Amino acid sequence: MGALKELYKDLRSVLAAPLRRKAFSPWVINMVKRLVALSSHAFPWRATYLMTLKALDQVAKAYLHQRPVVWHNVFFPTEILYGLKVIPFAPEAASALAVGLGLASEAFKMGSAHWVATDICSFHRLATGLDLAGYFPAPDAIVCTSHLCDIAPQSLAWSSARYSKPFYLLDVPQGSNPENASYVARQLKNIFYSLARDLGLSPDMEALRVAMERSNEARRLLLEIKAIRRQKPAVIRGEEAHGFLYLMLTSWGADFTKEVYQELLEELETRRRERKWAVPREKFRLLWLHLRPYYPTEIFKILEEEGGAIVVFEEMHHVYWEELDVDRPFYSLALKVLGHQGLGLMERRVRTILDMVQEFNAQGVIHFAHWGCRQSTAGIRLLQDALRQENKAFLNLDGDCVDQEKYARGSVRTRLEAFLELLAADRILP
Amino acid sequence: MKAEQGTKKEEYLLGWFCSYTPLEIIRALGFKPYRILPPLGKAPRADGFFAGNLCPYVKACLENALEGRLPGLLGVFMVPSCNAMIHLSNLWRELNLPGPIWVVNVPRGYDSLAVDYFSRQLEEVAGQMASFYGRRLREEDLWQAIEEEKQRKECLKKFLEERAAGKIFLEGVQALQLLEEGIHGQGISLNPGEKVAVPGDKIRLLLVGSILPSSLLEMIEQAGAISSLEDACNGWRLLPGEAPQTNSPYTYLAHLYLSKPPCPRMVADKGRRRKYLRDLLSRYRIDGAIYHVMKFCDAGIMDWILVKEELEIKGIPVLRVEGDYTGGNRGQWSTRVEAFLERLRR
Repeated sequence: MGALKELYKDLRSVLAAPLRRKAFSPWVINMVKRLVALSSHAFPWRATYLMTLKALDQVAKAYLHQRPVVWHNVFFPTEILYGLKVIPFAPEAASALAVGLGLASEAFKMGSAHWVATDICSFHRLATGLDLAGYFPAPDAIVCTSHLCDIAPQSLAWSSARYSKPFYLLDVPQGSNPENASYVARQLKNIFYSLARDLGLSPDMEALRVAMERSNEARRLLLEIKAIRRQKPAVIRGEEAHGFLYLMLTSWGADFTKEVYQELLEELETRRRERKWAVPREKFRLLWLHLRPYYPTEIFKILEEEGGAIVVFEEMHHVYWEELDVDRPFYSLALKVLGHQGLGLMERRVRTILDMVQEFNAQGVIHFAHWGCRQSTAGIRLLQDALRQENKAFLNLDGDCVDQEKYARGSVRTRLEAFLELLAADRILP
Repeated sequence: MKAEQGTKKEEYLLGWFCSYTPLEIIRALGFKPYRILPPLGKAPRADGFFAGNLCPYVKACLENALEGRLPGLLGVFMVPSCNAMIHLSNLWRELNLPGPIWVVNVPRGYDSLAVDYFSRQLEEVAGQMASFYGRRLREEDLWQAIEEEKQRKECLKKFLEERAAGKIFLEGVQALQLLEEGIHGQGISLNPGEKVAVPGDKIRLLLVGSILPSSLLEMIEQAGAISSLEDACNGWRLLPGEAPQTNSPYTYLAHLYLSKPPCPRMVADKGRRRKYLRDLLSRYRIDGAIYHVMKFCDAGIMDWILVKEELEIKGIPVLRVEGDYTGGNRGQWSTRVEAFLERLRR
């Protein structure tokens, strides 16, 4: 981790001047790519290193505008975008990266100056601020889904107005049934063809097919990864596995996704064979809900290193959809969108989490209650009650994934240590 | 659970929340729509079920229900318009609050695909409700309910438009009260003597928000201004849109509701919301505006930015105030409102 921190420090140093001038020339981008390429030792996993290089490549293409750039929210089925061979750019994901580059403070101030209220999700508050400050590559179009996150379509619609670029909303109803799937599928088809028209591209159904096949291959690999992670003891720590959520949220349909997952799978298998466990002594197994802070914290150090409580799986890595039918691309993508466990009745999410707890033999669940995320946080009481009934420990840890000012170090340590004691006592409060 | 037959129709209450609720279907089934607008106040019991940073109106709705302060409802009609409402429907179900819950997905835009989908949703939920309550819902009944509602709302619309034009001097609280009563079936009638024009020197304000609290309107009027137009879920957003002639009452309703004054959740086409606001600002004299943002309302928080932009284009000053549905904001608001009005007077 020390080497990774050094890499971030070097990146900040190289990027300081260009970031101030918002000048991302090919020279700067190549410099950054070279720096990362030479820093393979900084990454504990080759797969993370590979993912970083690939992601950097994509980001570079976006900044250099080598192809049309399409902004999207993290729940949009990116197979559509890779099928059009545009360059997807997810402001939410970029905002997580920006935290590491030390841009958050400036961006938050910029957002506040433009009336972006602190009540909303900080990912979007930060993303909006970064955009207003000129750090993002300009979009040629913006796509967004309406489900799960209320603020994403609102903030992206505003961005589209500011850039005078087309905005396409995928209106996702509650509930997965044929009627809703048909509605979503027709919209996806409209979006595919409308984007092609607006961006001056040919809508290539064969390219969409390829993107979906890549997505299916990546999905199969992710399920194999999940199978290895189920085994005791764990070979990858939760903090390390978290990084791969980048792919989950931005890269379905990309050629590099399956490459990274393949690499990760091989490394996991190797470490298992060589008995290189995630921690010397695994005492407890935990499930993690939502994301984690993207600035340095002690959370995983307290849990995994000090407490031996390994985050063995993340809800966000749950594969909630069936293999895509490449002959019915829009309908199967609609089913994928509607299949998310967070959509519809809360009991669906509760059931999914309980199944994961059982599957991974977890003793406890931690929900990181990211500030402003109402879809995940608002109904957590029902989940808490359900876990209590199953005699599973639950911790709702209030925090913020990207606003470091909200991190209360002492309070977090106290809560985590109390949670570890609860696990140790195997005692759930009535 | 089955509704008993034979009792008076007007006793059958069905609760509703959102302005996109098709009241015509509720009436055609023989029920009386009951708008769930809880009183202002804290929500200690609801706080135990919801996260802290969630819509206070939704919390108040849950609190009201947990306290048993709802009349005898034979069901509730919910539109999953945002995460807060979705979570309310989840808890409502889990806590066995008055039900059943009838949910209809309302599209977030207005185009042919949305109309087609919404009309099917409406037909499906109407059929399910008719079957559950043992009622017969013929298309003629629905058309009749549509016609009656249309006449009611046209009357309300005319009244509100004349008020916005300054031809009727009626305080905002009274106007919203009349609107609420009108939506629930009571007619509006003003004596000729009540049809007094707004004095020319009165500052006329546009109020924007989700549920506008009466305390804010009272404060404005005590300070000598008048709220002449309320773009809110208890204001103009209750007015109908326009629908083309069609054979299907469900398609007609889909057009009617999707084309009505758009609320911030209609995010697929913000251009329509901007156009709607520009139209209001050019038709009526608006000296200033106050935007009441409900705490933790994502749609409202971002809509404020859009509304502010449109008002700035017209050179109309605007004040932003926050509300938390507790009724405890008067102190915070009064100084700011007075200072704002002072600025307008200059």
